[in-house]
Amino acid sequence: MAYPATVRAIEAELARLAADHPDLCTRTVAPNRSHEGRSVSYVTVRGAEGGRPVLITGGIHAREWAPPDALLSLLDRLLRAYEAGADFVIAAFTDTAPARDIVYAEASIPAADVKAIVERLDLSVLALANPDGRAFSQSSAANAMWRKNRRPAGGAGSGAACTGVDLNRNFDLAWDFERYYDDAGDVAVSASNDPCDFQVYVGPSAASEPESQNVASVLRERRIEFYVDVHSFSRKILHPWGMDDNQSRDPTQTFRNPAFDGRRDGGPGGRYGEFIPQDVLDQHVRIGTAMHDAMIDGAGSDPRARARSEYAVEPGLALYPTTGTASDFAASLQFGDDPPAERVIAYTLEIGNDSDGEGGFQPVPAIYPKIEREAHLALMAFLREAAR
Amino acid sequence: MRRLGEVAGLDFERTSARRLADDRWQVSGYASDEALATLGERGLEVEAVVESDELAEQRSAMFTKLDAEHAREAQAE
Repeated sequence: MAYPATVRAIEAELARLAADHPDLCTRTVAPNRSHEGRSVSYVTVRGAEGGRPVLITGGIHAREWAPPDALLSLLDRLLRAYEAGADFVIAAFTDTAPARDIVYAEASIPAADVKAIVERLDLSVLALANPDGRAFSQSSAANAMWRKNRRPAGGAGSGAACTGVDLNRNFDLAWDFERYYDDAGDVAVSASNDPCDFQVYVGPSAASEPESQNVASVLRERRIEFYVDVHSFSRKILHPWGMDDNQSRDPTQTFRNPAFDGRRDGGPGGRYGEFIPQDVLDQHVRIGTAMHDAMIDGAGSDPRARARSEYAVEPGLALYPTTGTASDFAASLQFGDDPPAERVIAYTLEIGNDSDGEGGFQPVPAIYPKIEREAHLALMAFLREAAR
Repeated sequence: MRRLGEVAGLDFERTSARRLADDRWQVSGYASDEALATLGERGLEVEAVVESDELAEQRSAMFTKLDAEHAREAQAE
């Protein structure tokens, strides 16, 4: 499958994977069609019964072209390696752009790890969550930067930007940000109630969109314990929380506690911090660091390659808070009581970069193998940890 | 930073935000010439990573490939 893949090519590749590996793979069509009537499907790899439930998603943001392609090639390589009893091999790559000759070494994940991943996990990969958005983004250069889905514009406005919802602000966690934060937090948050906001419109209601409902249904119904939502770009491995800074002292300061509605500041060092148990935070940092190390080690010995494979492991909250994201929503499920969930380890993985010729949202085909290999190294490390 | 989202023709990636040694913040994105002018008027420092001509050339090559693939898919339907 050639990068960048079309929406049809992605669906065809999912079908091929399931057909070629019928003993290992099941293809499931998610319950909701998109606004434009497209189906969304995912593949589940199950080498044995009773595996730990894991989900990897991609393509939530339309313009981020690399993640869905990298997820499908990950599945392909994983399944072929398992069936051959072989290592998962990532070919060496030389960056041949002008004035560069940077060699990224061949890397391999041992066959024993491949076997453990396939046999101990129940791994679902939903490679393209937002097919309408991708189709629109790939329809012309003028639409290449489209981020949202394609919910038809409502009564609030009829401009081109008034179409669509940012799916990664639509999940049911702190979705109602004006109620959730104090005035300063409201101003700071990366979310908007304006349907004509080109980037971060949260939608008409929490989990209003069929595409976010699809992801949420897999998370809930399969009781996912390990989750990565793959985006681009910025070379970051983001763990909870994105909606406020982390603290492990006061369990009452939680998204579930309405007593803090209108009083959360949404920023670092304020009077409110989102509770996360210390051991849960430690596990996120430990596995995130394993993903980071895998990318550095996999780059080989060239210091330029290693420097360009450097990903930051940090909480989702950076300059300002975000609400309604897929990965924070996944993490939030462990604090539910209907019924109590297992621990959930959840990340947003931001692959690639804007600099170093990596192309930001849309890497050119010549550099794509570098982005793809980082995704594979990080995700295989994540899966290895999940399979422990 | 919140107001960057209101600049027409600017598409930035929130997670690219990082604090520099001098305590300023840096964020990356794509900007039209008009957006660059707006950013300059606001006193923000702008560094070009890829010039617009090069970006247009890259996009053109990718869309040529995509258009061909879409045509092939339509024919096969």
